[in-house]
Amino acid sequence: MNTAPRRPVQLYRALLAAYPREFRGEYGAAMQQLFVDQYRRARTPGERTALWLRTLADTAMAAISEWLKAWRTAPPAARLVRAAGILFIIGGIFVPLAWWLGTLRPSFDYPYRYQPFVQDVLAPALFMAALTAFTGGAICLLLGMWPAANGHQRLALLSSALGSTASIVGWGALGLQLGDSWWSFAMGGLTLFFLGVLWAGLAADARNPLPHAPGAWVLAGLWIPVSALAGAVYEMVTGRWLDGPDWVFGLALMLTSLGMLWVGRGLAQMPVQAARAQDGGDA
Amino acid sequence: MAQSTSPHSFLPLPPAAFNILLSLADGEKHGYAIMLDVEASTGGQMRLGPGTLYGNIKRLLESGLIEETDERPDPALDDERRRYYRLASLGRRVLKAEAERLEAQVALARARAVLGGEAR
Repeated sequence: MNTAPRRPVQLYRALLAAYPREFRGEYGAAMQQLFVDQYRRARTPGERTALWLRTLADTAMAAISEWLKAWRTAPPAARLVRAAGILFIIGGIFVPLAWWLGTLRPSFDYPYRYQPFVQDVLAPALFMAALTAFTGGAICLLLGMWPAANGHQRLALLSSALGSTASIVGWGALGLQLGDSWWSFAMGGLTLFFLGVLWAGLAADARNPLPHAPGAWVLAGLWIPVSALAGAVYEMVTGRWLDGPDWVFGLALMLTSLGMLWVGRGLAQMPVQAARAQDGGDA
Repeated sequence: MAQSTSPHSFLPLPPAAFNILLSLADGEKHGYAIMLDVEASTGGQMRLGPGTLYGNIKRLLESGLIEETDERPDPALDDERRRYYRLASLGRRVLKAEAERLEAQVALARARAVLGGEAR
């Protein structure tokens, strides 16, 4: 038997991550074998390119279809938890994107060029969308986990949901120029949200349905503490607030986003049997 | 459970599912063989990718229309990751019902001169 082509197989294996975990576990090896068979049959670069294009299209369509079917057949609690995961992933992508568009992007241009649409419209819209996704995610997680969550987690998720809602109100008021005092409301809400996420993750125990990756939850909650610490240290050393190296804030934000993506991925792929326990099985 | 189900409750079958069942009508096959057979029998018009093929296989298994088999023609020549499937008796009845439905449709098209026949 011919040996399998290594690089294409690795790429295809990476593509398999797009499918729900249950489906991938059941059919992933067989699908990979089928791809290898197809790849061996494609001999010219043109045929291989065509195969990759067909495979990408097939993966996109089939993965969406399998996610929708997994969604429809999952118990209500699992749907909510998975929805929370997807919303956290959306928020985890949108927040750094909004920050990058709003702060880093103009610095790439020299001389400095002000981009009103990107900085005044697109970046704030993405940021508000991210906060809305976080709020929705926290509410879904709270509702989905409620039967099995411990007291700490309920309180933590409630504070997260309230915090991100307050943050939306605060940022909205700042955007409408209702006064600088809304700044503390916006930042306070954001802090409450991320500390709630951190708390919910740390309060995990063997009986609760959160994915067991405490590192993800810690990482997700790092933005505010790391930024505040970096700001305080910078102020002590230079006597100024964090006006120069906003990359520290950005770096902390990237870590947080990574954590949110990690948390979201774990929730979105949470095994259905764990969620069934929440629906009353282990009550 | 599946045996008592009426074949007509599955109709009309999606094209991919129909072609997979049709491919298994002449014996058990693994995924790649099904894919090649469907491609050949449709003149290259239907190329099932791994995701579409195994998504359909999963649903056909769940519906009891096909079965997975442990028998392998020659284990020494075969990759253990290949999985073989065969038509279940319900699947054969559903395939027959779908083929008859399509035949009736073709007959109607012929009667209305869509396929070059004479309109009655």
